Amino acid sequence: MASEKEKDQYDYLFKFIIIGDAGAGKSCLLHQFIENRYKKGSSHTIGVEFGSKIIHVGGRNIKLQIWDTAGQERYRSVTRSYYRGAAGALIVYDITNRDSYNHLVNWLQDARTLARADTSIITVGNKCDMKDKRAVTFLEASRCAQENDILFLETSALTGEGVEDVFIKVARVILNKIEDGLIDPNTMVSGTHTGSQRIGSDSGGEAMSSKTCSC
Amino acid sequence: MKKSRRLGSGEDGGAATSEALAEPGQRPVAAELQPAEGAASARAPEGEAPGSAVASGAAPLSAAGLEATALEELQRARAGGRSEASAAEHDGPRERAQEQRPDSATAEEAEVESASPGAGPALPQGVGELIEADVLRTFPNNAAFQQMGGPDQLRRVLRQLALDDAELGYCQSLNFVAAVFIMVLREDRLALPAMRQTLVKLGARCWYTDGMRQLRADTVVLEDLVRARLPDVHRTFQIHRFDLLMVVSKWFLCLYATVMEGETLRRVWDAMLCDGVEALFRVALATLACREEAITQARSIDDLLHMFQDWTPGTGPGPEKLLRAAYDERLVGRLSRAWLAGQRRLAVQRVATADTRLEMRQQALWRGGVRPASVLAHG
Repeated sequence: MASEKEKDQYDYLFKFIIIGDAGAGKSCLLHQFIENRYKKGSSHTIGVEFGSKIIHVGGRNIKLQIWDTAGQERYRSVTRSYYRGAAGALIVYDITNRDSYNHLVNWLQDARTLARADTSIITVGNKCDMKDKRAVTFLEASRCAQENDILFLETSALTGEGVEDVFIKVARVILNKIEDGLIDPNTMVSGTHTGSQRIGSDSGGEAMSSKTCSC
Repeated sequence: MKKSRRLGSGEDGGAATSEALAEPGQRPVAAELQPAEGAASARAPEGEAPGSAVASGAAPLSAAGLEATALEELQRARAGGRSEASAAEHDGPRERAQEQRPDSATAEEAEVESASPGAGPALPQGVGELIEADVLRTFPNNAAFQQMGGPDQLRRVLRQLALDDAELGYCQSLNFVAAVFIMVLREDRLALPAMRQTLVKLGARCWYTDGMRQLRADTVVLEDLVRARLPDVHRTFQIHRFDLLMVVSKWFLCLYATVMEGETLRRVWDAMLCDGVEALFRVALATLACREEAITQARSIDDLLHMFQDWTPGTGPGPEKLLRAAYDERLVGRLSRAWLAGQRRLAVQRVATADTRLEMRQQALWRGGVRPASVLAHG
C-alpha cells in the first residue's frame, strides 16, 4: 500500500456511492470496475464496502472514492451516513427483477435528500447479459431516467460490458460541472477534493470541525 | 475480574469455557441455550467415540467454523438434555461427551421439515426471496458447509426465525451467524433455538431490526471506549473522519464470523457465550489495540478503509494474543457488565433522539420548510 501511495497523484477526488436493492449486483459492479474481473462466490454486503481507483477523464486524473452500500431496506439507517457529500451516485437495479426497478424512485429520493443537491446520478441496469430473463426494457428505463433528469446505462458486471463507461460518464459530468463553475471543488464537504490539497499535505489539514456521522 | 484471568491466560480454551459455564451464580450458557421445546426425541445414540467425534468435527468445521469448545459443549448438553430431561443443565456437559448426534438423522430432519413450512406463504413479500438468494451466498466456498447440507438447513433456520419473529424478520448477516451455529451443532433444530437465545443473551435483537438502533447505539458506546482507552486510535479516526460504524456493522452483526475463522473465531465465540456482549466489545477494542501502530500511521481515510477491508480471516493477531489483549486490564481497562448495560441504554436514547430530530428535519423539508417545533405540535 505504501507504494500505491507514491503514485497516488490526482487532480480531483470524487466521492461516489452505489445504492440500489439487494442482489442487484452493486458489489460485483464495483469489483468489476476496480479489478476488471467478475467477483465469483461473493456474499452480500454488510454495511458498506469501499474501493478506489484513479481514472483519466478529460485530460485529468481523477480519483474515485467509491462507497458500496448494503441494499437491504433496514440497512438504510446505517448506510445513509455514507451518502453525505457524494458527488456521484449510481443507482443499480437488476434488469431481470421488476421490483428492483420499481424501487428506483425511493433510491433517487434518498440520493437527492441525503447526498448533495447537485449530485450527479446515474441509473444502472445491471445483468444485461441475461437478456432472456429481462423484465425491464431499455426504452422504459431510459425514458424514466430522462423524466427524472438522470443518466442511464445498462451494464453487465459479469462480462464487464458498460461498467467502466458508467463511472467515466458520471465523472465526466462532474468534471464539466466543475469546469463550468457549477461546483467549486474546494468548498465541498467531502464530495470532491482537488488533489493538490491532499498530496503531501499533512492529513491534519483535512480535519474539519464538524463530526462525520451526526447527520 | 476472575473471568479475565481465566480467558486471558487460557491455553486451554475448551476447559476455560467449561469452567465458566459451570460458574455458580451465573446461569450457564449451555442452559440458556437449551431449546425450549425440550426433549422431543430421545434419540441420543452413542455410536461414536468422543475422540472420533471431535476429529470428524474438526475437519469440516475448521474451514470457517468452530469445534470442540463452548459450542460443542452446547451440543453435548443438548444431546444430554434430550435423553435425560433437565438433568443436563448444570452439571452435565462434560460427562456426556460420548453422546453425539447420529450421522443419519434423516428421520429428525424430515420431522423438522414438516414442522417448518418448506415454502410457506406466511413470509412477507420479498423476505423469502432474499433468504433464498442469501442461502446461496453464505460460505459458498466452504466445502464442509456445502457437503453437510448446510444451505438447506440454513434456509429452514432463517425462514423459521423470520416466521416466529415478524419484527426481526430476516436481516442480512443473520445468515452467517446461523451458518456457524449449523456447522457446530450440525442440526438446524438445534441451531434455531441457539440462535434465538444468543440474540437474547447479547441484547442484540435490535441490531437487526429496522433502523438498527441498538447497533448504532453500541457503535457510540464503542467509540466512547476507544476515546477513553485508545486515545491515539481515536485521534486518528477523528483526523480522517473515519466512522467506526463502518467496521462495527460487520464485526457485530456477523458476530465476527466474516472477519475471523478457525481457532480465533472459536475463542471469540467462547468468550461471547460466557460473557455476553461485553466480550464483543472487548474483542473490538483488542482488535484495534493490536493494530494500533498501523492505524495511527494511516495517512488518509482511504488508508484506513483499505486497512480494515484487508483484515480478512487469518490476517489477525492470532487467537492467543487477541484474547489476552481483550482481557488485559492495562489495555482494555475495566469493563463491567452493569456499566456497559447502562452505557448501552443511554446510547440508545441518544440515537433515538437523533433519529427523531432527523425525521423532523426531513419532514420539515418535505412539508416545505415547516419548523421542527411546529411538526412536533402537530404530532
